[in-house]
Amino acid sequence: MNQNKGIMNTHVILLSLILLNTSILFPLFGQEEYEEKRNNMVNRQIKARGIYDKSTLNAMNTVERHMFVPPRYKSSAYEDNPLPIGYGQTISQPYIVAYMTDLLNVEFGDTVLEIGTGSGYQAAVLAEIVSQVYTIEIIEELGLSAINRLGNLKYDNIEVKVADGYYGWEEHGPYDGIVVTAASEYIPPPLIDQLKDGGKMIIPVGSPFRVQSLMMITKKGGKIKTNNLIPVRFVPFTRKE
Amino acid sequence: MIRINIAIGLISAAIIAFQLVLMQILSYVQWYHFAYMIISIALLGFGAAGTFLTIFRQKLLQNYYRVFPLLLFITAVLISIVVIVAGTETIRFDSLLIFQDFKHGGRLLVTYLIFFLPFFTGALAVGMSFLKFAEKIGKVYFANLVGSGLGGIIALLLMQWLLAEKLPLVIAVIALMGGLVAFPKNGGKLLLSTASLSIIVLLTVFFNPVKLKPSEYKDISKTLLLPDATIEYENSSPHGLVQIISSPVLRYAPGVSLSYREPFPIRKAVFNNGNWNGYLVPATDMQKRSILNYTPQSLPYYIESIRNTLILNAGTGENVSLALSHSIPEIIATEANTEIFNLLQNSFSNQNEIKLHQTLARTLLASRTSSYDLIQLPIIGSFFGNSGLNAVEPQYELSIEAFHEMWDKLSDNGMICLSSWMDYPARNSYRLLSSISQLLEDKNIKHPDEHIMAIRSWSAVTILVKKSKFSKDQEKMMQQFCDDLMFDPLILPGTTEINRGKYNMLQDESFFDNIERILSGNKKEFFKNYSFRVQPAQDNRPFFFQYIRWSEIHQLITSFGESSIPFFELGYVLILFTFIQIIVVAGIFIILPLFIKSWKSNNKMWIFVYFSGIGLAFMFIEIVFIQYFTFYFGQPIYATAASIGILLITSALGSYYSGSLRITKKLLFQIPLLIAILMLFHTILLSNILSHTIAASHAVKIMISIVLIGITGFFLGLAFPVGIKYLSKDSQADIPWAWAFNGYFSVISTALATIISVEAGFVWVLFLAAITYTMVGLASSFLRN
Repeated sequence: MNQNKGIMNTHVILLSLILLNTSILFPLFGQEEYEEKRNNMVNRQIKARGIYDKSTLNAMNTVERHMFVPPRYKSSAYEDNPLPIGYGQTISQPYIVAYMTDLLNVEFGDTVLEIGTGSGYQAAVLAEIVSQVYTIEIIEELGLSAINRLGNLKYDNIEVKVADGYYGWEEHGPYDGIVVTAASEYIPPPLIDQLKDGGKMIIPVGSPFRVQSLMMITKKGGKIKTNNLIPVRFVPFTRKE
Repeated sequence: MIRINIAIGLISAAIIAFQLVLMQILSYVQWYHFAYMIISIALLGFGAAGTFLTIFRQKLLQNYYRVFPLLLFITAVLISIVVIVAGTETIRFDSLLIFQDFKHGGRLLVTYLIFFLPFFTGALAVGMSFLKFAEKIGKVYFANLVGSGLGGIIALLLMQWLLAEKLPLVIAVIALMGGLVAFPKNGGKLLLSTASLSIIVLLTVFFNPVKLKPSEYKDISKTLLLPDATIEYENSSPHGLVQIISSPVLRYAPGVSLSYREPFPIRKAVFNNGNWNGYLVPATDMQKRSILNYTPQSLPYYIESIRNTLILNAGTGENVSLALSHSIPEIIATEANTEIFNLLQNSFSNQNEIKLHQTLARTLLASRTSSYDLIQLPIIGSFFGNSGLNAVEPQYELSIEAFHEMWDKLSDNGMICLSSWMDYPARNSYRLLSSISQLLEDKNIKHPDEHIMAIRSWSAVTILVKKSKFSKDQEKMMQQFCDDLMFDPLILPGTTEINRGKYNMLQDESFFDNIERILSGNKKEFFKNYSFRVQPAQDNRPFFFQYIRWSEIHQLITSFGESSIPFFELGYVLILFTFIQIIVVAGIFIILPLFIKSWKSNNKMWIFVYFSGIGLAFMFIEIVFIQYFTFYFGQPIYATAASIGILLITSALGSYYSGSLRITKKLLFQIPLLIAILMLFHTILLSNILSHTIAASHAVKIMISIVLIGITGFFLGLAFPVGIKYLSKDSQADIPWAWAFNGYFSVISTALATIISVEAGFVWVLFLAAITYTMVGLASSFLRN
């Protein structure tokens, strides 16, 4: 009987050890897997398409994209696609986020304004590079959830506001760069006013599940110029010779 | 027998009405492409019912008088609940996510199967009756066709009065009435309890009404997420559900110049079937300082003194406001959608200089003799890139024939103003320009480059084509307009030395080279080499937004990757996707089960060719008739209802008449051949007859339609019952096979007809129908007694 009890105890201890080990190992294994996926994402989707800026690559490699997507999409967080985050919004394709960040050409010490916080991913990537990111979200539910998420992830150089992005965030401007992450069919004059001379504004044109191109607006000596960039999904579309 | 015929009429009406209502519902919650899916689901129901009958024929016929009403009660219940079931969180699919998330592909399939059920049970009831009363097939088929015709009309009337979400229940009541009419004296407990249960289900649905939820990626869903967004108005019509939404942050300034420094105006937005349609025009937009004067579309008013403007497809009135803001003395505008037209009327009720016409653009162009200083079309494409979502929607106002008509209606110094949103790879602006280039060539203009002018903003292109040459002064005015509004000239009359990127640069400058190629003598070479089809659209192939060429798909995949193809032409890709899906699913449900039972028949070849052929060709004709008569009447929904209605009712008359015919082998040769001759007549003449009489009075046009569709319908209605009656003599067991073949080919023909129309044109669809009927006739040589 005692022997049996001893065997039982051994089983319980072994079982506890296994359970203990799995509870520690699983998250660790998960983290490693995500890190590997993130690394692959940077190499295969971003570097391979011609983005070599160290700070952009570093930011994309650091920010845990899987923390910004709904749980059911965690396993596809690092795939070459936009993903739904609810409310008809998406977290952009990783390459778009990297490309927009790269185009802004910002550095430490700069201040950036983002219109359309969404999940907060683009803001987090920018926050790895610049000193301060201000971001505005018009949909209250998305804005509150981004405040929560970015707080949990300890991004203390990001400030989120639930408001109408049309007016920008005047008290913190002018900005070195402005990113409008939600596709817009107009360019609000207040945003142009809040852009520093020499600054850049990036606006995507097009729906995330359709052809999406980027517009870059530059301000130099008070003059504004637009540059319609090639849709990020594509290589330049030239005539067949 | 009378009660059975009434019940057949009622269930047939319910099936057709439900089909139209489902099309409307899916157009609202998703996009209109699913119309094709619904047509094929309905036909699949018919085909699968035929197969089911083959296998369970004896049992079903033995209990006909109980099974028939039982099926009607089940159909009533299914009609009332399938939309609710398909709308539940676990089943609801989103078409935009199909190519992103395979789960949504699976959900689409489940939805397909759920919607299939009421069509299957309803069709089974009708099919059983065909079999049971094969001797009197003429009368039964008559009841079926009359019911179907009336079902279409009932659906249209109901759509006028009720929101689409309430309609399935009303239609379920029609099916229920069919069951009650056919209820036998000794129905038994099962039948009685099914009838009671179906009444309870219908009452439950009535007291718990469903609310349709559009895709979260539709314009309306996104707008409703804005702070304090409110639906201020909604009204349903056969054109769709029109809703007006207000929000204190809902601004409207698409593509407005960067030099516009005033606050962007707050507007009430108008949606049709959940898609952005325009905004309610306030009085401020009709004034000189209107924001609309900061768009490239306002160019014509700056370079020419305009006395009258014709605005085609006016929508909610943006271009009308633009004309008003320039105090144009006479403004004529067209809009076909009844609800949108009413909004247009309300917005401009106090403006005497405006004359509004509720019709399609082409109908008005053909019927008027006036000449205009400016003809303006709405900006085409979509700001967000429509990705070919309307690739298979005919655009008769953008065909080369339409441009000819516009040109003929211009005054001596008149202009046509065309605009398009920038797309990538460029297609819309290329096709507009190639149409203009073709027009000038057709009109033997000596120096076409002196008649075209174009500008580009950061988001759009506007092209002007003028009957006389542009003057140097006008060129200067255009330059000034561009400098004031930060736009760039794209085409300047008589020169290629243009600074095209002063304000708005393009990373891919091949756009400029291609514009020059289209305007030069090398355009044919360009059309051949460019990966998209950008030649002018024609009335025979009026799919302006369809650009994909089969031969270039490989190159596109190489350039962009296969996952990018749906991004260009989602509309056409969805049709192809539906077509492939239909072939497979219909094969599984209709053809495969037939192999459970062995088929012993002397006339296998004839049965296959005859019934497959008439199934395929009937739908070919119906699809082309709908297109032609929509163009003819200028009212898409009513033209569809009228052409289907006349076709079905005259087919019913043909079917009724078939009862008096003595069926011989010769007759089975003569009838299809007669239809083939009729089809050849339509192939050669129908389009011409309609084009030449389009300006006639409504009464004359209705008479012409009744004659043209009616004669065809009558003979088409003979073919099926004559074939069935032939089999009913001593090969009754072959009837379900015949019905299954007919069903299968009807199912695939809807999408196939659309694909052939896009690739080759409507004339070819009619010609192929003629060839098919010839083969059907000739197949009688296979007949063995």
